[in-house]
Amino acid sequence: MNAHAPILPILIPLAAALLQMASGRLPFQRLVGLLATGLLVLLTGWLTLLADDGVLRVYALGDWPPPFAIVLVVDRLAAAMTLLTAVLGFLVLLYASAGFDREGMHFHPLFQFQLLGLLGAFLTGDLFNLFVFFEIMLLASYVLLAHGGGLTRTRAGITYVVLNLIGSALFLIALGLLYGTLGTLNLADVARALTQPGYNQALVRLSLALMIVVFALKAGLLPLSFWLPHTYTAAGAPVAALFAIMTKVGIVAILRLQAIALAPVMPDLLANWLTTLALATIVFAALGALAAVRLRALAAWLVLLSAGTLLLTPAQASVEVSAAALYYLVQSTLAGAAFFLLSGIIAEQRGKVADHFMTGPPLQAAWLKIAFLIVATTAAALPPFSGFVGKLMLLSSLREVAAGPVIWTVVLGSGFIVMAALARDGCYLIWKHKGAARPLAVEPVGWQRTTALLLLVAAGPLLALLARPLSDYSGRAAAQLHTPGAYVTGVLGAGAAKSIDHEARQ
Amino acid sequence: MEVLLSIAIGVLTACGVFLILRARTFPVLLGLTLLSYAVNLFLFASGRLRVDAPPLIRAGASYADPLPQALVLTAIVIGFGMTAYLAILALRGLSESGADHVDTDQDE
Amino acid sequence: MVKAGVFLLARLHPALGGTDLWFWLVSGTGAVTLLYSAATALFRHDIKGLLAYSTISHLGLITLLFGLDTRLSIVAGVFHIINHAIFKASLFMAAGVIDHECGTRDMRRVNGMFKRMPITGSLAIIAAASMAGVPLMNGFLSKEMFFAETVGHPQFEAISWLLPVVATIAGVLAVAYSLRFVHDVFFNGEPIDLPRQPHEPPRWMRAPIELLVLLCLLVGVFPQLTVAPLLKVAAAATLQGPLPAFELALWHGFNRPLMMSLLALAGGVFLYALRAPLFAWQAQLPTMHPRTAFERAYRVLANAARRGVALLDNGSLQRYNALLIGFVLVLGSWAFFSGEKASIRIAVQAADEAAYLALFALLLGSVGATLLYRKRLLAVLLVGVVGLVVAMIFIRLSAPDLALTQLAVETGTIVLMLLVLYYLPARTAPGSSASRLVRDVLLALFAGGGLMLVTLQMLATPFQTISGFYLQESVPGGGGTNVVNVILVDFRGFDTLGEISVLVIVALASHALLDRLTLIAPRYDSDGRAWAREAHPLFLSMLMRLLPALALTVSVYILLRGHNLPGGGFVAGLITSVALVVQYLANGNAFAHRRMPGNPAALLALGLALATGVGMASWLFDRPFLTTAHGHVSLPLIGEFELASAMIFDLGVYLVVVTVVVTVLSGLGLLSERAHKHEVAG
Repeated sequence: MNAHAPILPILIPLAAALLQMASGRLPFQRLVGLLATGLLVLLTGWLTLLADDGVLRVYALGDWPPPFAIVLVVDRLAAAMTLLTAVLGFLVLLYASAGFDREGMHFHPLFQFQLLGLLGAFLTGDLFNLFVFFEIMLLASYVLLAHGGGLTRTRAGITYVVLNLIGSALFLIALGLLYGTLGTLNLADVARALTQPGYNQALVRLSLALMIVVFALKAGLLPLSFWLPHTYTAAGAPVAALFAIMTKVGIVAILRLQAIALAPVMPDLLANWLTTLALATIVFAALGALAAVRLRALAAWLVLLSAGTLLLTPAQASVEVSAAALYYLVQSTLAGAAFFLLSGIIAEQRGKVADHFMTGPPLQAAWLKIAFLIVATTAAALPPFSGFVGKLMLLSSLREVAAGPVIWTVVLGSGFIVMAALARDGCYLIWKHKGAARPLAVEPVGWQRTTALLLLVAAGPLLALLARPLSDYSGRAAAQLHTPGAYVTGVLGAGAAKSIDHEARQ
Repeated sequence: MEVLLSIAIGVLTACGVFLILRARTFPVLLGLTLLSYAVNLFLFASGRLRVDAPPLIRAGASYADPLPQALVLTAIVIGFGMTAYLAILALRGLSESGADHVDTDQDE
Repeated sequence: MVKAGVFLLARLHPALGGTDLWFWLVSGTGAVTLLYSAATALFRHDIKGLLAYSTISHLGLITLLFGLDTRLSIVAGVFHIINHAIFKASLFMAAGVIDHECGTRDMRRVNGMFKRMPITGSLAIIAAASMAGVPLMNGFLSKEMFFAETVGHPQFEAISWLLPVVATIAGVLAVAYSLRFVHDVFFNGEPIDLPRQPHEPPRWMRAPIELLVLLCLLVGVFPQLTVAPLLKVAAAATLQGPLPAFELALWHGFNRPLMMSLLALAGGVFLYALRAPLFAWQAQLPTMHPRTAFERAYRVLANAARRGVALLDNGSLQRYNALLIGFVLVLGSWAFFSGEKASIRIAVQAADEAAYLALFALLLGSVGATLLYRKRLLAVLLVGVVGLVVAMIFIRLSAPDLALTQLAVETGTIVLMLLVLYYLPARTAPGSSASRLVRDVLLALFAGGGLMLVTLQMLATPFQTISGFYLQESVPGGGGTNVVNVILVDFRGFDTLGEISVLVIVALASHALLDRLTLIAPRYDSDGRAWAREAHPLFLSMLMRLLPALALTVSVYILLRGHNLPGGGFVAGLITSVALVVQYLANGNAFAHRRMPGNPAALLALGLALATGVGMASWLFDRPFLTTAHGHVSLPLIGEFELASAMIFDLGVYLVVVTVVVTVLSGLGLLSERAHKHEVAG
């Protein structure tokens, strides 16, 4: 089984989806879903430990030699991302199994397909195959977004779908151009071909720029970010929580493309524009957080804010920055998801006022207040939780770069705004009540949702406690990411990568 | 041949983009269809253009590049799925937003 | 606690110091904090309030020093951190003693304490003098250094007068509030209405104050002997470099800093003398609770943010699309033109009349559909024409599989669009404004023109490809002569597995989204013609009942030969589905439904499971997922033929395609059935 480990994270959700489709009975679907995602957590956890030996695990599908076969490539980064996806998927599914899955049809198989798309996108080493997994991921997310119905969701859905369809068209153009100039689609082979002389550089640059636009669209870079707050606010709480990792797919793709293909030969392609636009995204998201009128919208803006912060990193092309980015990515994903799940329960407990920032009935469950405090502290990057650690690591890694002072000003300024917004809005949700109002008589939160939420909330303190081993791992992952030569050799075999290492060293 | 195909791709793209920028869902659907034709032709063209050389193995023949053809086939099918989903979504939007207009519709 | 922030600033200094931005940001913040808090401290009636604002003010001073960013200013900052910690800690403890003894900290009531606690009073007076910067105290030393740094700071000649002025005003305020603390608390008549009778506190409560005040004096009088080593270590750690030469001494001669100190002392006394009118003036200012003030300020900001966000994001998909396309054009042009262009050799193949004719038809179809998009039916038909031309291009350019797929998909797309068209309201969209039209036409022309030129350039660029491998290995390795099909089911079968997953999701989506959806069936089409009400035409329905059998035969044939000749699971599946769709069109739902399988999801799962299972079977032979096997099989009657495991994969593809198309279209069909029932009921 060891040899087949890389494909298993893709086959487990596929098999689960098949079983769920075959039966259609909800209790059975829940059981299969939870067992499958639980298994996935164990498997990807094992994979993450396995990958820490620094050996690139390459799985050539159909037993053809790369670059002719599609390959799955497991390095530390890919393994860690699959683990993050699995953990998030398991917790969100647990939450959704308390009744959200009843609000529409086929929730469970669609959820598994969504995981399949995400996991495939993190694992594949082939750019066209990445397109295919993007499409699976997107289509499943389109349908999950519509889950539960309602006009807002449908409207947000049309916006989201049309923009991403244009994105898919751009991706195909980029792939056509890449194949039409370099004659290959395997990322390692592309990296190798880029170091050979004689290709049409203008066309290749255009192709890679288009690809980055597609990834940036997923990640929510300004001016392509307008769909994100609408979509995430419209989606049901568990769906939005799962979506917290969707922007990260785009960011990881940019990081990888930059490290493997761009850094050795055309480092200027990401030069100033990406950092500038990322800063603009942060400012925009902070304004949005200030303007938000309900908790779920605020959470959506915070997802955009963390995406903008992460988008600062690829252009720096530095191991230290990428290492900090990976820790930040993990903690911001979990904090974002916790925020969405919390907003769902808070909205439920406050009746008509829902999660709007208005005075309303007090919360029935007191632990929700503490949960909110922890999540808000994490999200506002205040000490002592993981949000603070992540931001501190990121900022201190960014102090060496040219745009350092501007980045610091924008990141700290936006952090201040978010802190003010969270403090003020939290008062409305938690402490301000109408007169001597009593809690509404609502359904209890239930053990599934309580467990899921508590575990996600606990991630804030936990990731801070584990900051040392985690940042060590992300440091090693970043170091591995930034050795394109080893990647190319690992995938294509020795000899192919001599030239690229030479280039990278220059 | 190359020039003609480039013109065809350019025109399809221009028409597709223009329609995508319209306000209603239906022209956007048409525009995405036209754009996907353009993109499929472009992806296909990345293997260069060959006449009378289908990639079917037989003695003493020369072949067009088979890989872009396989990719385009995948892209066509995925594109079809996406178009279908957008159509379904548009209908659903119509049903949901039309819900409060039922009375006026029946008055006609 | 509060020093932690300043400490962070000190730690950050090596990284960020030395830029204009750093100066403005840090020194600006510091100066504003310094002045505002010092002024506020003067007006606080609570002893601890006064001390707290004073602390904030001193932190502002330290921040300002770090912002000035000369090496000496850092030393001064670090020095002031040490000094401030000493005198402020003793003052806070003294305030605690007073609070403990009097039961209140209101300076309007706590007066004349010197008589009641002379020792504590003396200690507090010394510490307050240090806070004010009176000579012989440690506070004086670092304040002198601060004054010295503000004079003649190298940055920004034009405003070089500003810093000393700010520093002096701050000094005046500090003297005034220190004086107020001393005079109000320890003198100024008799206490008023105290809850307790104050006297000297127990010895152990005073001991730490005594120690700290002693330090104040020792540092103030003998700086070289006491604080210098500590300061050197701390300042060196902050600067992370060689220390500048500085001298810790009481007397530097009559220089500008000393003048400023004296001015501050005099000014402070003067200001305190004016306290009565000042307090009266402050009392009549409108008071606002800080929380209300915060809430108001927040509202103003939030509203501004809301307007800002709305300005950028007006919720219009059109604008999002235009931004995306515009962004791609700008970034793409930059990426393209900043790259080295390769020399291009144009070696075009001659085009024949048929090619020109095809281009003409394609132009007609696409431009026609674009111009006439409001006439929806016509537009759909024109798009259909374009699709046919694209299929013809594929045939002409050696891609028979693509042509077959394109034809089948085209049929499906057109049927889908017609169904959607049927329900869409007959409203015509309002025309776009002229400026909007110009924008859209420009974007369209740039996008179209750009991709056209890029295509030309790509076609003229020589390249090497990995495709040779597929052509070489197709027969020996993949067991099929149709290389495109072998790529789809074998070399890149993983893509295909993903692709049918996409189709399965579409089917699930249509099932989930169209469930229980009701739409009003329109009686007229968008041009005002009545839809036919009759049952399905007899001629068509008779003819079409024969079709499925024929189509099934054809698709089995196409499925089986797919590995070697154009065809395969997709095309076969689409042909079967198109037959079923036509069946549905000709005979109506009820008829079609009787012949449809019950649970589409299960059937979908079966197809996908077939494809996945075949892939997993290769594990039994210790090979990676989706490894294929093939061999010769001979059957009686049919004879000997090549059978590849990939063909079972293709069968899975076939099953999925058929089920998906039928699910989607029957979902839409059920919609129409409900719509008609709705109409009859209404």
